[in-house]
Amino acid sequence: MIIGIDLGTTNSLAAVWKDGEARIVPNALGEALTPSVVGLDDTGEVLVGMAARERLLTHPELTAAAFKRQMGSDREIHLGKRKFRPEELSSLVLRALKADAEAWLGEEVGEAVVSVPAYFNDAQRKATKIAGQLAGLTVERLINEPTAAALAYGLHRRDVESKFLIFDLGGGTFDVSLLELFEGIMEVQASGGDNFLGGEDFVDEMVGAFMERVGREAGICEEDLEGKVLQALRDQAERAKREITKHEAGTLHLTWQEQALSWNVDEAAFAELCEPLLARLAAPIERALRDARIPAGELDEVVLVGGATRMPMVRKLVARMFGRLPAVHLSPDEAIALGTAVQAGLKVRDSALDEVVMTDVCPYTLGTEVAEVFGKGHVRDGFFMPIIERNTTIPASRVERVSTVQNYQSEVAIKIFQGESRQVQDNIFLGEIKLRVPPRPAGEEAMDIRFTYDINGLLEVEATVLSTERTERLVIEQNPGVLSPEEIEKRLEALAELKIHPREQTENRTALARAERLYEERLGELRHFLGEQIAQFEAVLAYQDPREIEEARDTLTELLNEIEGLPYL
Amino acid sequence: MNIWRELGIEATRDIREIRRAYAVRLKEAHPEDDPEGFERLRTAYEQALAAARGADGLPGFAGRRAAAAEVETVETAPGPAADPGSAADPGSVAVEALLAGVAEGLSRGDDETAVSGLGEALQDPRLTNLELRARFERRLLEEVARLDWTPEPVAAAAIEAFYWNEGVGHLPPGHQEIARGLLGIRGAKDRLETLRQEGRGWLWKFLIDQDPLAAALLTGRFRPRLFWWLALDRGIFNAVARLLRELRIFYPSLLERNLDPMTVDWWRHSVERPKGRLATAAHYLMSAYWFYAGVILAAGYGLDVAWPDWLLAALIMVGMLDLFIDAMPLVGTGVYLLLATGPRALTTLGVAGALGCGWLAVRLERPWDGLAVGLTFFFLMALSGTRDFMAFLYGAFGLWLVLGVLFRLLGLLELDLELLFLGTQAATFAGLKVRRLIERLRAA
Repeated sequence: MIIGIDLGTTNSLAAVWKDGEARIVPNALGEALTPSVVGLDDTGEVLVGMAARERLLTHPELTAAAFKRQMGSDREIHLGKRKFRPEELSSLVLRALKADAEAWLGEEVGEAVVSVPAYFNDAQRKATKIAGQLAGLTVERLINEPTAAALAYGLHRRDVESKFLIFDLGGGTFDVSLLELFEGIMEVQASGGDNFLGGEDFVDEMVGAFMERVGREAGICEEDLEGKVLQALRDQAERAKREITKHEAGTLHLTWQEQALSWNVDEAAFAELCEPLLARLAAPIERALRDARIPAGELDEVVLVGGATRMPMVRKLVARMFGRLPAVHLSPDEAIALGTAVQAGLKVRDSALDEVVMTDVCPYTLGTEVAEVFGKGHVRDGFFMPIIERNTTIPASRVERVSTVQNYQSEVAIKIFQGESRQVQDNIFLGEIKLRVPPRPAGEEAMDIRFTYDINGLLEVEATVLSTERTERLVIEQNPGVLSPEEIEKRLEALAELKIHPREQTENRTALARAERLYEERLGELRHFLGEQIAQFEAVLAYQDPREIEEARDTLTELLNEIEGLPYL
Repeated sequence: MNIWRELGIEATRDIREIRRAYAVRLKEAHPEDDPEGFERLRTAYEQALAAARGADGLPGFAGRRAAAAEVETVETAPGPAADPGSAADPGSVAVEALLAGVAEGLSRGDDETAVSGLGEALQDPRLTNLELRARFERRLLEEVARLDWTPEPVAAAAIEAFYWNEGVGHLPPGHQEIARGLLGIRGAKDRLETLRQEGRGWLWKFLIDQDPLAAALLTGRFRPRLFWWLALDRGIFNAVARLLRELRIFYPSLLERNLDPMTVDWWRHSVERPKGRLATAAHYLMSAYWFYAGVILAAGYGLDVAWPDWLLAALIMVGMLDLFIDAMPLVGTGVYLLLATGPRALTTLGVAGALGCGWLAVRLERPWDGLAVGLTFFFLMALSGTRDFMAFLYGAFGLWLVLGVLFRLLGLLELDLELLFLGTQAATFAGLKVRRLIERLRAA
């Protein structure tokens, strides 16, 4: 069984292709969204999802969130004394989703289609694949997020010819894809995006504004803004963001050194704060339209995907840009996951999906560094030679021939870059191949460089010296963002030693974590009361009587709901 | 590979049919199972589409006439805003209103106003709308095409705002041409900056700074269409012609090694066209006049007034500076006048002759004439029978220069003329020092 997984910055989902349709897999709490948060319990057990997210506020040093933003880098995240790489944390989320799917389907799950932002680079894609491997899943396919959303969207509109744009603003990344539907084919014409622009950035803006307007007056310095204070503030900003979407205004509350701070923010003020972020949304859209050579007026529909597109300011921007209201046929949270499930269905050649073919593009230009020769013997290096141009339909394979520039050089280093700049220094370095060549005068030795960009968006580079027919494949020597096979083995062993919090206890653990969070947030009487409740619930848990536990949990949850609605002191 | 066989249809220009054939074949050559087969199909499909659309990639340099016709169309074709019946279209009204600031600045030749106008327009919430933005982009290009000069700052801002550096394929062909023209200038400017940083010698830097745009064009990549477009601008054309000439004089090695030979050839040929030649001749005449003036004055008013040697040396230096700067004919005249009124008019005449012929030799690109004139002056001086040490020194100086030019022309000397001049200056100083020493010894 192949499952589809939307591994998001803020939330992750699993979906399956079942009985001719894509369906979302509920998690242990019965919810569709599993927060992409991983934490260690006080006992050292791994918590994933809502429970971990609650503990982000009470135990920030033992919890990690938004690690997707670090994928493809060698940065390590501390959870207590243990250090984790982003792909390890992602693997823990994947493992939880896998367990949910197995519980729901009642069968073993070994393969997955995982979505990645279209604008993810080679290292980030490889890291995602490795995360799957670490979670015990074979990643059959990496699919671009907007492409997945397009699959979910276009599936029922196959018979009409149309052009549409997918606007995918997730928690941490922004992607835009232009698609054309014709003759049953879904063709991505162009993709663009920003790897560091998402809902989280809007939250950061609000946190910053709070600090400026309220925090500083109350004596909170920048240095105080870490750990618990920061997490509490971020949580409040997140809530206010949602409030604004629903009621056009929201309030942030913060308990700081026994004083209760609050700040009201309305839709207009929030939009003004986020002006620079909104401006960054426009560029990738314009680029994609230009590349596809589709005038904005020719689009039949603009489809919004990703939780952050719920924000009214984003909708207004889209409406202004395209002069029309965007389409919201799909749940913005679930579209991508549903699309990954469709892709899983395509993968196993499900009969309901017989006539669907989807083609995607490579969203950025890939090439090598070359030296240019001016006139007689004047060589300058550092130039970028594109081999696969951006928005080429994939899979694609291109060859370029280059020749030596120095007399009697015996080695050629082929450096591979991704980006759009003419100077390689402004592009992203992906890896390097070293090639031995017979030492002969400049220009007399030539080699073919072949770039193959596969359907998963992974690049393979092959270089062949013409005279010796010696071929080298890319060995990424200098990319610390990608784990080597030996390292993966090591990490697998280390992960196997971790104790995962039992899935059937998730609900209890989540309720408890939430109660603890509220305990820390509130003051006075309420805090005292919460403390008693927590102690009581823990006592019930110790008896291990399932029915009694369920009853106690329901009571506690109801109580917590009520407290959550109470005004701050 | 036959693209039509790959697609399984007869050759056609019907895009619909091509797409249908692609769709049918795609199910056999599925991108997932058969990447190679898919690639072949995709290539065939893209080629077939391109053929059907009648645009086989970039048209290349199809001759100036074709380019001219295209720009002509751009300038005369009614833009979307000028479509009949769309006058009342609110979009057009908005675009024209937004464009007003830029257009006003451009029409007055005021870069600052134009750039700030563009900045304001781009910030305007109305231009968030992608359709209006695209219209604005095209109209801006049309405005620029109307000018007979190049609004560089506006171009730079527009390139930034509309991502032209990432491709202009989304524009109609005529507009593409203009955008490419603007892009070329900026690309060349960047390259120029590198060259300036790497520049060898003050003279090169000086040449670049005198006219950066011309230098950018001449040192940039070969872009015939851009060159052609810009050469319509007389100011740019003359600046490039002048720079080319100066490079040939002072930096022949730079011309050969560091610059794109195609670029240099293009400009060389353009400059040598009849009209260009006439302009060149006039230019030479203007620059050469001070030299003749100096000679005539020296001959006519050879008064015997005593000047100290250091002043003479300084005057010669100023005269030589003249060689590098076109705009100094008057200064040159003054210098030679002073030299001629010095104590040794005939000597001065000899030096002036030698210097002048060397200068003429390279500048007029008629080396043999230049050499003949130079040698005549040299022998004239020798025959005058003066045995004065100073005359001997200046004579040697002249000969050195003549020989230098000769060797350079024969390809025997790989030295830049700039170095040669500096060398002669140094030698002159040294000579003067030695003479002082001898005089002092004699006195002792």
